[in-house]
Amino acid sequence: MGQIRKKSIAHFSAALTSVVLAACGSNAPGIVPPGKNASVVIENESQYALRELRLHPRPPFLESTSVLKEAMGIRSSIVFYGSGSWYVTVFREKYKDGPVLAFTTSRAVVLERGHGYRLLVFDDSFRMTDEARWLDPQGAATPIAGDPDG
Amino acid sequence: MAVSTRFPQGLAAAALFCIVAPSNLACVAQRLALPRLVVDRPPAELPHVKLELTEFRVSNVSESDQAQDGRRAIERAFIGYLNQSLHLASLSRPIGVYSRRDPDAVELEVDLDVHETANRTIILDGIFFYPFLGSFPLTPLWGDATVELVWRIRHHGAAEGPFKVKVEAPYTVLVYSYYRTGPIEEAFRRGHETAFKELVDRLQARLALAPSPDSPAPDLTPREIRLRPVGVGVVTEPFQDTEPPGFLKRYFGALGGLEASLTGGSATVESTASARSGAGQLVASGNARSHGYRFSLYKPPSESGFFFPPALGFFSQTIDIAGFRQDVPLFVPRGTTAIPAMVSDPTTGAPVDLSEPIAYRLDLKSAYVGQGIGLNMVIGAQDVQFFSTARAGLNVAEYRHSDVTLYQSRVKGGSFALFQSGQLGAQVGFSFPAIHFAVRAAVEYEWFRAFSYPQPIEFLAAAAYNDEKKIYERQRVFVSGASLSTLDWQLSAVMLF
Repeated sequence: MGQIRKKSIAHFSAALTSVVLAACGSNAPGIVPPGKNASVVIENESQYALRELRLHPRPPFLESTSVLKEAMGIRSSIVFYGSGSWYVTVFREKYKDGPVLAFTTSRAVVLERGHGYRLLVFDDSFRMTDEARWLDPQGAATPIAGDPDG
Repeated sequence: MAVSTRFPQGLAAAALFCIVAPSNLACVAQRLALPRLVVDRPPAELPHVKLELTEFRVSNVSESDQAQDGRRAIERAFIGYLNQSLHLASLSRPIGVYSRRDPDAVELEVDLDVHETANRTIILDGIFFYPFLGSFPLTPLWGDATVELVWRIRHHGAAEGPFKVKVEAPYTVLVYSYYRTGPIEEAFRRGHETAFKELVDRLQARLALAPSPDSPAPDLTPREIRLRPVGVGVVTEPFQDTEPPGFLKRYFGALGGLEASLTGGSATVESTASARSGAGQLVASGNARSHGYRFSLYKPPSESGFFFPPALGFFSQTIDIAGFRQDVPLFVPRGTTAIPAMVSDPTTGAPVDLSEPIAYRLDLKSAYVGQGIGLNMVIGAQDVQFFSTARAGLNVAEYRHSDVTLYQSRVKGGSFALFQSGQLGAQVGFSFPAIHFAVRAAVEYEWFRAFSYPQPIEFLAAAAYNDEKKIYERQRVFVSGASLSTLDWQLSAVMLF
């Protein structure tokens, strides 16, 4: 009986610790470091794999480089850290084995420091939401681009 | 009750009459139409011969013959013709067993059989009956009126025969054939005339000789005579030349003639796919047109009837297939911001039209064997003939090869297909054999089901709302084949050999 009680206490302590750590990692509003760059979760909701993802402060995209190390699959995502105005450009095939085209946001995405955003990439448009919470780069499970500490 | 209130009784009666009338009004022809026998020469002198017509039997008479006592009339006509053609010692017609018989007389026994064949087109008759009015005029009915005479002679107990002559007279009723019997009766009339003449001529030849077994017998072998068609009718066998064939006809007649044609056509290719909604939809299509001219050999049909040509051929078509343009609505859920995309060339940054349909170049080929069926209808006389043909073919087996040019690559492949394609064709024309000329117009439709691509190729389905993503989008679909159809026409002039 004594051994069982000791094990239950140990499990409860571990669970409590993980909950506290998780709360710190997700950074609820009001406890976001104000000097940190905004986080943007960029999700590929299109029907195509994205060959390149470029974020650039001004159009055109020709002088910028892709933040992807490999093609971004359908339904996969990446977190970008930055602030200010950014244009987002993705490269994908028009159709299988067809020509590659560049899709650029028709206007800049404005990122405020300390905020979290979500940018969905569709076939021929983008959708921005600011309901997402700022993501701590330490707890992010997806690839990271940009400068979290800038 | 509902019918009686909305459909007055008078109209109901009229409709019933229209349904029943065409079938009841179909008249019955007289098969014992009396011949117009004209003796154009002096009667043969046989003063030593006494002839007794002991039997004159008639079979297969029609209802109309029975109603008009045609048996007696045709027998009287036969006896009259005998009287006019042969100058005999006596000609008698003993009736019954108590009739007085002359033992020295030659007994003649005749059996007359009359019957006919009848052919119709199903299609034109269908038009005639629809919608139960029986008013469409062009309802060809054609066939042969056949008169068959068998006779025997007996003299002093020695019997000879039976001797036989069969006469076929073609007839055609082109318009309102359900109401008219004149051409059929005219054909029987011609049949009786020829058969009676033939019988009397041969009887005269036989009676001119002394009726003894030692005498050399005249030609009394069975004979079949087919009369030439008279006037305009359905041509059921080729007209024979009345003059010896010329040089061209003799050496090139089998080839028909030299045809010069204006040609045109279009090919259509279509791909369908099942989108997320589950329903199949047309996602891509293509059309190619052609026109030109051609010289070839051609022989117009010379007789009516079915024919069964083999389908053996090679088909090749190069055609572009493309998706379709569509504006996709931009849906903005509450609390979000939609940002349209600018589409450009990744190497130059130049704007690109994203809605330009996806397109591929297809090079489709097929070598096939199959079986066809056709029906020729030739109507006319020796100098002018109208002809029409309807033809259908089914390709039993074929080898297909497809070559698809993608954006910067090509894929090729071949496959076998069974019962996956066929043809329909039709032509109408006029032939003027007397002046060695013909004109015609022809159309042919060819259809290939599911022409397989070497690999599935991509198109976009119609825009639909994706509830999961909360957006309108055009779903990517991959299709594995396309149906292909071609429609070709030609207008031709033919110089007949």
